[in-house]
Amino acid sequence: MRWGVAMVSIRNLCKSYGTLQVVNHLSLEIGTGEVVTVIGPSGTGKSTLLRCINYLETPSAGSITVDDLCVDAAGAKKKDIHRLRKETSMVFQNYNLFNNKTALENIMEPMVVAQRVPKAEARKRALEILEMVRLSDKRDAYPSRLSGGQQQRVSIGRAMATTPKIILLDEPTSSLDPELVGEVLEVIGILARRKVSMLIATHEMEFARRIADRVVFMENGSIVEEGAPEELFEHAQNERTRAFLGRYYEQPDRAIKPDNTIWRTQWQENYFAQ
Amino acid sequence: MFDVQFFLSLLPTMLRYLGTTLWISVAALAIALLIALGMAMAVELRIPVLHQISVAWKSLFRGTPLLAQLFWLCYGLPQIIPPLKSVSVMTLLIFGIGFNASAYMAESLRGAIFSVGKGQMEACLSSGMTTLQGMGRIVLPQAVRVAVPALANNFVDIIKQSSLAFTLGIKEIMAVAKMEGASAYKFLEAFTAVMLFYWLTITVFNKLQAILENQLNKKV
Repeated sequence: MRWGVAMVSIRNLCKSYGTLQVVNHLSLEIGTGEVVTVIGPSGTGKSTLLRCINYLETPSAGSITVDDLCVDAAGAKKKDIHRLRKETSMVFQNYNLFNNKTALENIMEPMVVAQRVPKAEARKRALEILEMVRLSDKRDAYPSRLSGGQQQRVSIGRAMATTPKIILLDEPTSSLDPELVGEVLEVIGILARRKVSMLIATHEMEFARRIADRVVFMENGSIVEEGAPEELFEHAQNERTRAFLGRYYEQPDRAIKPDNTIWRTQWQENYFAQ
Repeated sequence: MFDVQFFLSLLPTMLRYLGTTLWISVAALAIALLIALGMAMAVELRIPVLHQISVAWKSLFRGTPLLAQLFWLCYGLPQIIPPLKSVSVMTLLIFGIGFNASAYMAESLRGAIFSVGKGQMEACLSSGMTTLQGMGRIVLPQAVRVAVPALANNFVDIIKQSSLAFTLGIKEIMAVAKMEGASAYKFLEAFTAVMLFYWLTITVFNKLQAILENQLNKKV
C-alpha cells in the first residue's frame, strides 16, 4: 500500500433513521495525505458518512479512529467527540460561512476560538490562506458580498486553518453555478498537491477521477467497489459500478475524455494542465 | 370645551413623572432580556429541567393577564412568602412586568435563533468550537439582528404596560393624569396629555430602534 499507517479508519459504521438504514456496516481506511473520493447515486449515504465522521450525525454503531483517538458509537464521550471534531473538519455543500464575520475573520475564528492561537498569529496565517485561495482582495467582505465560488473557497480555507488530520468535503461544488465550479476544484487540487488527507463526496466524475488516489463507489449505504481511479473508471469489476459510470460516459457534457469537456472553465484548464 | 390652559399646566408635572415610567420600563426590560436569553438557551440547547421550567414559565405568563399577575405577585405571594412584605411594591411591579415580558421575548429570540439556520452551528461544531462558543460568537449575534424588531415591539409593550403601576398605588404619568383629571374634573385634557406623552416616548424610541437596526445591518 502506498500510504504506510492508516490515519483515519472507520469500522463497521452504521447509521439509521428509524428503520431506514442509511449507512450500513461501512469500513474504510484513509492514509496520511491520501485523497479518497466517494461517488455514487444521490441519497446513497455519502453525505451521512462524512457527517458521521465529524459527529454532526451520531452513528448508530461502529467506530471512527483518527490517529490514536478512537471514538466508538457505543459509549462515545463528549470530550472525545469534541477532540474528534478538532482533528477533522468539514466543507459543506452550502458553504455555511459564518455570516456575521468577514472572509478573514471566518478563517481566523476556528483558530482563535477552538485552538486558542494568539490573534496576531491567526491573522497572519489566515492572510496566507486567503492568498492561497486567491481571495486576498476580499478579506474584509462579508459572505453576503461573495459569490458562491468565493464563499466555498473561503470555507475550504477555514477548514484547513486548524490543520486537521483530514478534511471532509461534502459535495463541495453541488450548489455552485457551472462557471464557478472550476475555481473551487482548483483550490481542492492545491490541497491535494500539498498532501492534505481528504475524503470527498462528489458528483463531478472527471474531478473525482483526476484528484483521487483512490475512488470509492457507494450504493445503498455500503461500499460496492473501491480502487485506483484508472481501475475503477476503466475496468470496474462490479456490474452496478459499471451501470452507474455508464450513465456518465453517455452524457457528452460530463464525459471523461478531456477533449470533450466543453463545460470546463479557464480555471479548470489551468488545474488539469498541471 | 377643551381647556388648553389646564392641559398645558399638566405637562410639567407629567414630565417629572415620566422618569418613573421610564425607570419601570427600562428596569423591567433588563430583567426580561436576561430571563428571555436564559430561557431561549435552555430550550435551544435542551438543558434538562431548565428546559421544562422555561416551557411552563412561558405558558403561565402568556396565558394569564398581566394585571392578574401583578396583583398575585404584589398582594398574593407575600402572604405565603413573608419576606416579600418588606420588598417595595415598585420592585415587585418591575419584576412582574419583567417576568411577563420575558415570556414574550423568549419567543421572539427563539424565532430569531431558528431563522439563523442549523448550518451555522454545524460549521461551529465541525471547526472544533463548543456549542456555547458557537452560540455566543456566531448564532446569537446573528439572531439578535433578526430579533431587534420583535424585541423592540416587546419593549413598546412594556412601556405601555407600565401604566398599570397606578393600580398598585405607584405614581407615574398615568396616575398623575388620573388624579389631576379627577381633582379638576377635566378628564379629557388629562388623558389627552398622558396619551401624548406615551405616544411621543414611543416615537422617540422607534427612531432609536431604526438607528440601531441600521448599525447592525452594516455588519453583514
